[in-house]
Amino acid sequence: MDAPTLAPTIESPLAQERLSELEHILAQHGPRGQTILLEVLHDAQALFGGWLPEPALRRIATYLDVPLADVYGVTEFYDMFHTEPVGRQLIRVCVDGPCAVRGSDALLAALGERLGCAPGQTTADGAVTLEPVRCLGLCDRAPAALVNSTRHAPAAADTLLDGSPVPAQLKIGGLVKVALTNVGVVDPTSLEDYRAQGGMAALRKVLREMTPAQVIDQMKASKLVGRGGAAFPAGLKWEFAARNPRPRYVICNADESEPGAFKDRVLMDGDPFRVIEGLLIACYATGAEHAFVYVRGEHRLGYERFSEAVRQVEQAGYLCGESVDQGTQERTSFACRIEVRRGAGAYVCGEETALMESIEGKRGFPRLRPPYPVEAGLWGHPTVINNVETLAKVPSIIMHGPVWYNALGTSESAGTKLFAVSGSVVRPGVYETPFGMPLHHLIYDLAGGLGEGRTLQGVLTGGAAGTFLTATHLDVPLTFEDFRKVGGTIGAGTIMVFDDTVDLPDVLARIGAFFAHESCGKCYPCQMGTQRQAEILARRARGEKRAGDWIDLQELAATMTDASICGLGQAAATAILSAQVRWPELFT
Amino acid sequence: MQAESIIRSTCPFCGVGCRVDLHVRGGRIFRADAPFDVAPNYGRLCVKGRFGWDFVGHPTRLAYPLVRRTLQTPGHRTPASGPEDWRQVSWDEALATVADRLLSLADRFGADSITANACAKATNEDNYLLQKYIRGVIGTNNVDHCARLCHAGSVAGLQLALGSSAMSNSIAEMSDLECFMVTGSNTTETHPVISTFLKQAVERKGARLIVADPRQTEMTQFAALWLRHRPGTDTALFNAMANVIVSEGLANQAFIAARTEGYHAYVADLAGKTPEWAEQITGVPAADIRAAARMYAGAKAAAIYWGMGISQSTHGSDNTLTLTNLALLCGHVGRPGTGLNPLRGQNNVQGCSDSGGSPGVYTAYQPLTDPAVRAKFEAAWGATLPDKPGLTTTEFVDGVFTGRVKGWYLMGENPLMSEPHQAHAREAVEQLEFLVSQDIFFNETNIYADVILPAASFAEQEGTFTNTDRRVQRVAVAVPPPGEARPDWQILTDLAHVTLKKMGRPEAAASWSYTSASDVWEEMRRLTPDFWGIDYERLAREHGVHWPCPAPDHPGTPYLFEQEFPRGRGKFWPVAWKTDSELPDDEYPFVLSTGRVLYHWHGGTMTRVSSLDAIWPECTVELHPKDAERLAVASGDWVEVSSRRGSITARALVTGRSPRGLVFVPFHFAEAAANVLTDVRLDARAKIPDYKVCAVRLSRAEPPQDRPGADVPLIGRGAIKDPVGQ
Amino acid sequence: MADLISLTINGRTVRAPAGTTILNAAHSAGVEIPTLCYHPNLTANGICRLCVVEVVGARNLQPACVVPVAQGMVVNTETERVLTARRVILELLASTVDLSEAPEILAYMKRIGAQEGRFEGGVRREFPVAVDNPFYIRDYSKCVMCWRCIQVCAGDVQNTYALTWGGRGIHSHVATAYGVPMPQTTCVFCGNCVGVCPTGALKGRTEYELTIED
Repeated sequence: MDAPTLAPTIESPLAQERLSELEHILAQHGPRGQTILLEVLHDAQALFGGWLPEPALRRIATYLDVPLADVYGVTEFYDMFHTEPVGRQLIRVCVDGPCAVRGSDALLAALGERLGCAPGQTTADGAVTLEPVRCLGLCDRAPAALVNSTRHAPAAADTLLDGSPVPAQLKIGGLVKVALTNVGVVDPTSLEDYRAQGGMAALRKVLREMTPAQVIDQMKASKLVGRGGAAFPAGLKWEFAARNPRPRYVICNADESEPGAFKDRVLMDGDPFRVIEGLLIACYATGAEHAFVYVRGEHRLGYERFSEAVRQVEQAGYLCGESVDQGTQERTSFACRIEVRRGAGAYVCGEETALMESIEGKRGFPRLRPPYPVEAGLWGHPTVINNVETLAKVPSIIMHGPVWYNALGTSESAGTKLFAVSGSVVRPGVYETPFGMPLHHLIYDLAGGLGEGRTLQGVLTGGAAGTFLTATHLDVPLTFEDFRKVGGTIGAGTIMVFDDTVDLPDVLARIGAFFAHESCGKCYPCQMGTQRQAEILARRARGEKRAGDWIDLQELAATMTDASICGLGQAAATAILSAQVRWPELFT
Repeated sequence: MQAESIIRSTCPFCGVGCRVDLHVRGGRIFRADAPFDVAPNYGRLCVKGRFGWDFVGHPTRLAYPLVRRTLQTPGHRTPASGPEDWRQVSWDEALATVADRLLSLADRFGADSITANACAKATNEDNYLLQKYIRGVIGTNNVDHCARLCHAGSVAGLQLALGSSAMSNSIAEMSDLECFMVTGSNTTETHPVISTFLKQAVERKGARLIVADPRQTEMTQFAALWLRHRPGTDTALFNAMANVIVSEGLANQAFIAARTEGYHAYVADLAGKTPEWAEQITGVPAADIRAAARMYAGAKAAAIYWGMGISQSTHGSDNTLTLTNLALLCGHVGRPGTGLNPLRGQNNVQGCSDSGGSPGVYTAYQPLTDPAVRAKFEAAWGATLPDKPGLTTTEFVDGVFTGRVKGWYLMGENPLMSEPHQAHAREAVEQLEFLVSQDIFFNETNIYADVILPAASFAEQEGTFTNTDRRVQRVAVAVPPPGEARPDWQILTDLAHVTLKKMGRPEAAASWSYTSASDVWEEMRRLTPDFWGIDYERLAREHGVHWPCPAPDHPGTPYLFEQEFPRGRGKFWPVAWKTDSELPDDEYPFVLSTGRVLYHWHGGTMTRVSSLDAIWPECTVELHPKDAERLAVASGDWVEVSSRRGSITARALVTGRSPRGLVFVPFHFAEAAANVLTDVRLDARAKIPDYKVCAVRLSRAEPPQDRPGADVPLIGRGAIKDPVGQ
Repeated sequence: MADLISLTINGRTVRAPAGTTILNAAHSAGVEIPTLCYHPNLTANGICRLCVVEVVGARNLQPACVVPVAQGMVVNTETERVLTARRVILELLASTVDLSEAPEILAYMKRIGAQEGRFEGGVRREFPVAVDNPFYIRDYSKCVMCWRCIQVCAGDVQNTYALTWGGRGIHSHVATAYGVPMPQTTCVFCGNCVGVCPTGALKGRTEYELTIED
């Protein structure tokens, strides 16, 4: 279907046609105000061939009763929205660590040469736009690219430009599959198949046999902590929210955008019903009647899988019902509405408060805390935000109980964890292991170790905001407490492996560039600090070192860590400081 | 840029009375700021206050006294402003000429053949002396000011209902409103800073706003209810609201019993004035009228704010009475967050009338017909004072035609732009024997004058203004006046001395021994119990004081009527539905409404020479899209707008803001003066013209030959654009 | 007296009503904490972080302009951590933006020993001066992104919403929809933005023309 590049003026008949189709889109969403803005912008942009002309934005602003300037400001914040024409084909090539290790630079150069346009630009005939982008969450199939919304991973210049994508092979594994139970086994688009594998039994049990308070007690007893990186006890979070006045909200944070992170992608592509089941149990426990799944905009497939799952779950009547207290026979009605919302290209929107701003239809500026989301979240109401993997653990915990879950893992790190291993390993993929397995098991047993003749230079754990370990740490058990002892980070379970061929200063420079690109721009330490950090690291990676660099990097790190509003700025220098500990010679 | 001095003053444009800090360097103002911690505006300004002070330094400022070279005679007056027509003279000669001419008129025709316009832009001190001169030296009460053309309808109604006529509550209360109605006021364009507080009350405090206006003003965006009634049908709308309040038992019976009179006659009159009845007349759905009534009556505290849409009508006083009736019905007066609040237009219209600039009263409305009051002023002024109220400005014009009025003293007024039926007003001006203008610029009227006395602007003199919520505030010298221009109070003092000497009344001159504006204020407050507690020192300390302030330790009065009304009990007034306006017919099928745009001020004297003109450089005729379609007119097309009184040519601005059948023309642009079209019908009580309704027709027109900017597309010229979309 | 909180600031006991910010409580006790983006008439957002102070028990430095006092809170306003953060923030700012018309900031930088020319050579805010209306100019090379102009135009005062944020990160800038000139936006030229700009990025046209004349 032709979507020509057009600058529609009111006279152009094609423009008029598009504008009246826009009315249908608006009517479908309804005049819901600012909250629905990102969804409307996505749909409108698709209608206008990949960009948003002024008459469209103006109409959207009027319909949603949002000032035009605010609507425009939203398009300016998110990478995926364009207010100038783009090519029919928008090719996005990832340039972060794991993809760089697998040749993304060369890929970008080859594409640029063949297309005859530089990265960041559009071909002369307006047909193709070539964009370098940050991590696409396809690190297990690096180098990764998107052509419009189609994944090309691993990508090659030929298949990107001419044919269809190379079929991807999902690599998962691990000793004990809890969250990964159904992945590769069940049809992720079928509720029936999910049920046949035992799905929705936990929700049924919760509604029939447990009160909300009992569910919360189970979660607390399980010692499940958040799998998004912050590791806050999930049960406690639900409990805090449940104490505060209605209405309450639950959000599934599917915005996974950390370089090297792709475990949530695997779950949402492969077993979305499990996540939804966990989400519904969370709603029941906290008394929330409205839930959101916030999926990063680049994950078209995940968005479709979640949307389809919600649709089927709603059709099957799971979104409302009645629970009966076995003791008192008291009936509680349960009603919940789930909306699946797309992000639009902003890593910072994985931060809880920025995520909420995004669901409210605004730029993703983090909020000041306190108040915390469980006290004042969406529109000022108590809100629970849980990671995809966290929610995916919930049904098993309900079915098998907290004791079973505690038995997996260690006393301080309960249960299992999904680890996303990428970089210089033979089998990049998602591996689920109980907490306590040593690092080398993950890298060498599950992910196949390094290539022939290669030696390990370093491992970055916890993503771009994480820390480096070296070969001396291969025996460290994968637990929060053990990693902390050696100055390591579990984070969301991202493991990037770098062998001896990798240029570490280049890796650091990419980490710096990532944070600078993703900084929201609100607070001064991060907005400018990440930029200067990136500039110093890039310069050093090019070979230009200056005497004051380390003290500059240290003071930038201290300032960002101490004074930034949110975790992005606070963690932007973590990997850099860690690298200096491991390889001080890199900073002289 | 560093200022050499920063002078705190008060904005010279609208009645909000924003405090401004004028930054001066090299004898020029280069910046205006507002102090963030001072009432009423707390740092906020609008475009005019922030940037529109540049008229002060404009090269065309009147700087020297001027006398017409050729003697102008009645019926043969011609307009002129160039040096070939005007002779620059000394102050002595100019003042002597004025005195001689006025005294000659008084001798031949009586003092009442002379009329004077006080100036709602000049200071209280200027106006006090103007009326003192006219009454105490010349001997006539024919002094009036432009409130006659503005809130006279409101004033007349409020006087009848309450015995008072000022805005009852304060701007400070606006941020905390619970419920309020805005009617006949395009507040974001006429009182922008006030509108910011009102908007915030809605957005931040959840205040419920009812807007009653035929035009889609910006305030409608914030309204819980927009009653879009047909122009001129206000009394039907508000009477129907009252009908609902009474019939649904929502009236405040305790208040009615304790504080009002005339309730039963009023209620009897309301029978039949149902929402259904009003829907027929106004076009507003009955359900909305009910909802509005319930919203207003159901609030614990509700306020009404209104503007020219209510006052400038053949039934402006009736319109006002239907509003006072609502407030009295519900007891929404005398408490914070309530009130009857006409938003006064000019920076010192409140002060001008407070200073005695009206034909029937002295300062603070002390009636000149009261012998004791008159005696007090006679003693202070050393004069015998005329004891009958004088003419109103609208009667000045008629008075010329009947031969009653021969001479006109204009202080800062431009009747040929502001009076209705310009041709009629011009004819009157041409018939005058003597016309003197004390002003800062040449304007469309004073180019016909005999003598020009150059006056200082607000930034060039000391004095006080009183804003719409009765706050007396200071203005101060920031820059020297141009050439030999003098403050109005100084001119009048000098003129008084000259005149009194010629009259052989040296003893009266003793009461004119002012050496400063403060001296003038001191005399005024000595004669005015309501002002007694205010002096310049207190104004410097407290930045402003709400009158009434009867004692130095009295805090001032932000809101009125807590205990009682000036007339005792508030009175209900039955108001019959009728209209005397010139309604549209087959020949003239459109209703013309006139008014303002944000960037300009009234006759345009100050703003057409300012950078403000660049942002809205021409007259725009607002026209509904369906009407435009029928006329085959698009935005930017030239149209001729004609009434029975004249025609103007300007460009159409097609917009859904005006309802069908209504054409809106701002009155700032001399080359397409809206008052060429308007009618002289008046409200019988208030004598205010009907600027909001008269009948016109429209047709496409050829572009005029001599219009600057005619070749520039209209939309996008400056900030000209459709304000609401089609 | 009801609702008075007692806390310690730089070793001294200070009492303030509940809801008072650390900034205002300190001010009432004669302790001045530097600010930049903060304005008493506007919503405080804790953006510039210049006002950060050390609160015992808090992991990070706390922005005094938004954090309310708490009973028994112990605040230190000039610790080494605090001074480093302030100094680096200003060094960053000076490397990004033209501060030549922000003398108070420059004076403070001198006072705390900020290094001139640090972080130079990277991305700077450099924009041609926008002279697109009769009343004020926008010189965004001087813009420190304090948000005051955007806020004053939005719900804090005008509810006009002519301004927004363009870009993200260090590329953030104050923008109009599609970058159109001010007369094409909803701007009513009230100049309330000019009135709150701390660095001369927004200036009256008269003043601007006089300045470039000089």
